[in-house]
Amino acid sequence: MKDTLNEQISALVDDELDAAEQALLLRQLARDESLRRQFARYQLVSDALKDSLPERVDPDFHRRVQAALQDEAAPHGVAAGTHLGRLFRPLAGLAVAASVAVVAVLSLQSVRETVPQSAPAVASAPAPADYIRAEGSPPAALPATPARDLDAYLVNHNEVAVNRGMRGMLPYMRIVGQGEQPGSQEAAE
Amino acid sequence: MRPLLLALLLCCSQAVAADAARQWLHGMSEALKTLDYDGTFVYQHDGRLDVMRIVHRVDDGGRRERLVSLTGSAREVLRDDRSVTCILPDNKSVMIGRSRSPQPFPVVPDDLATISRYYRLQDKGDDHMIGYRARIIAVIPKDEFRYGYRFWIEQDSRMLLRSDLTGEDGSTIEQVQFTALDVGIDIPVSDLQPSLTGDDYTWHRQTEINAAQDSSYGMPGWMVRELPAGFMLTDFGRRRLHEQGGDAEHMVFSDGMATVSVYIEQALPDTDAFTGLSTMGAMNAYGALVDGYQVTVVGEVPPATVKMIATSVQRQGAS
Repeated sequence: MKDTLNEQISALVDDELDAAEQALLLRQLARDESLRRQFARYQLVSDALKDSLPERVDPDFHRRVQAALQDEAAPHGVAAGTHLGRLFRPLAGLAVAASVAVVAVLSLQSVRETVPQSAPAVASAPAPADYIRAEGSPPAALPATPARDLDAYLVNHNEVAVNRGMRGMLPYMRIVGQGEQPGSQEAAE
Repeated sequence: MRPLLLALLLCCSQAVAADAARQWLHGMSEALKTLDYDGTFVYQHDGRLDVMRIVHRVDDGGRRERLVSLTGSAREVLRDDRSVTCILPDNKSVMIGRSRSPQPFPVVPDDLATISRYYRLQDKGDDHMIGYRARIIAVIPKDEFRYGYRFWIEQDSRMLLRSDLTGEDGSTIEQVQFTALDVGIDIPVSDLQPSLTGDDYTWHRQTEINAAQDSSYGMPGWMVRELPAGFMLTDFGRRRLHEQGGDAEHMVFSDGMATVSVYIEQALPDTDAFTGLSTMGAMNAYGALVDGYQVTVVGEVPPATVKMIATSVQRQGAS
């Protein structure tokens, strides 16, 4: 049962659930904090794989996650892209996701240490917010970045938008949901 | 004669349908502001998914609301009639702004002709969501300078159940979907308290400069040369957004649905300028440097719109 749930969370992060399954799982997610933590861990892994982690995360992190992934994938003998690989993808993907979640936690907690080969249970890992804070230099010492400065504009603009708009306070979800993802930056033209 | 009559009838029925759609939007806007509710919703954007909780209560003391992330870094926004407080644990900071007093005009413009010039309003029929009956109302832009919206509105209370924001190709850019919602229940005051004290955080207060402090209040020193059709200046003021910076001129433009802010302030010599595009879901921001001034344009509009506005800001009187 637990494995099925984990598998579903993994599929949710990858946007692979149909509408009915998604609705059901989201309702469970809304009720269960440990599920939300699990979800947040998978989300972090997914971000790492897509190379879209926030700037404050160790820049070497993505490479080490990929290295860990390769190590993990080899013993299963499942080659990515093969017919067999696709058939087994949910289960293999789950195993990889779970182990990478642990790697993510540990490597963020001790940035300069090597990635451990054997990892403790995922259940003992803290929520992403904790390990984001544990990483690198404290936020106060960071130079002001454009993305961070934008918070002030966003807060101010939201008051105008909320007042004129139709969706009540919902536009503030962009500030609340932006915590670990400062927004994509394009170079100036 | 008959084709003309048919065309006339069709035209009338479209106008009636659009007006009914506008009534649904107006009802939704009122419900979000006046009802007591406690809901959990999922916010999907940029391939990510965040779960949040919103609590809203109205009593003799006014409106109080709280929005908190259940999956992210526990960011939290609290708002009442006087102020808005954003607690940002990842930055270890608390940001406090002033709540705006309600606009003297309705949120959804009564003048359907104006909004109809830039958007089509459509009633898309009934649907069911989390045990409620919903009506789907679509707001479809007529050009590429604004986003479209689809709202699922609960048929009795008029509460918003789901909101999709769509790009020019009809694809969903952002989606908000309630997974649990209680309307008209007693909201304990304790549910509106912040879960973090912010004791060891840095506090930032945004201030509004009033006319008595500034003789040039009410006269923008800057102008926007190019605006997409329909966007009008609806507000102007001076704000102090950063403690270390000077005052920013703030112009607000709206087409009746979307709102865009333009901030202009002296660039700080020891701070990196913000130039180019930054995206947060459907919120886009574009920065430019003009004559030593930082121009920042923010709005729930496509990148092309914020860029067009930011790159056409100039001083009043400049050619």
